[in-house]
Amino acid sequence: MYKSGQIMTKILLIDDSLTVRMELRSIFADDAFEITEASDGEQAIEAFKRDPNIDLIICDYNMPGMDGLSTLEEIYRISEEHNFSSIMLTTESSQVLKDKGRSIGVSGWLIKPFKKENLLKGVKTILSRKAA
Amino acid sequence: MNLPEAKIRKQEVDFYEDVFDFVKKSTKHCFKQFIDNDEINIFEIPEMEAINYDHWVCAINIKLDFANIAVKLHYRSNVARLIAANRLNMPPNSIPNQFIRDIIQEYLNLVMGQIKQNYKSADVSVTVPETTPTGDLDDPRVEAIDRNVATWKLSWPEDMLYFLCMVNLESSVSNEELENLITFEADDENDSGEMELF
Repeated sequence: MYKSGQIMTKILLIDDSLTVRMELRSIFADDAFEITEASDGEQAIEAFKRDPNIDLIICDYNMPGMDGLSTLEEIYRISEEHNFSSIMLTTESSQVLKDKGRSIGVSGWLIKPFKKENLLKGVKTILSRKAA
Repeated sequence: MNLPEAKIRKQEVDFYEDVFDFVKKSTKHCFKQFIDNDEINIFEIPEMEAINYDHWVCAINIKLDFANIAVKLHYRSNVARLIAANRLNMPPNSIPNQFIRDIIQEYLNLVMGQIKQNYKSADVSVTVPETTPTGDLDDPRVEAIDRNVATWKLSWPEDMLYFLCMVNLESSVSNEELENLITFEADDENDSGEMELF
């Protein structure tokens, strides 16, 4: 998608915390990003079905209903082209969950509380890998 | 293995104190990071002092192999509003009401993450933080102090604002097994790490 001649990155934010979604919105409050939010797995899947042209998904793990990895697993399953990257942003640090994430197709894992610069650095690397 | 009664008792006390100490440090550490303020103090509540349970309570439960750790946070809405204002870099009176509960839940979520990270356990289950109103209870603590419970205040800045933290711990292993449990130190200086790329 283009805005003022610039390629926009579409991000889907999945977190049950309003606070985290608001913080992420402010971090990506730039013309280069278009943000969609979901507060749980089901909303996220619906949002993805409505607009599958997502470039990046940033997802929490512990949420009411579906957990973050099950949500991403389902989104990868219904996605025809797998043309997006995903990051887990969570308090979880278990190697078992990270391994599961990696097997699903997750590109990055950032543990909360996080620093804005670490998130942006990781996002930049992942998006440049995707573009390459 | 049969251990002398005194040794079993000491192990049990050490274990409880260890967990209480760790959770205390975690609440402080996470709050420092959460509001980006180093001036956070832990206030122990003397046994003779009444505990004032503020109107809202947010609770989370962490079930590990060897223990159940319930953390509760009692607070007033004006304190949560100030925390949200600080965190979101907005004036307090512009913070939407939905954030009052959400901000404390997210903070407890971080505390839970620290506990899980440090007390490695093969089997872990965690509840999503839940907020309910209390009746503004004032407990003069007439009953004997419960050794399963630790209570403290976190305060900032200059002790003008505070909220109350409680942890209720129940070990689910025998006293003999407590000896094998590793103790951990909350790393107060541990920075948030970089993203792990796959």
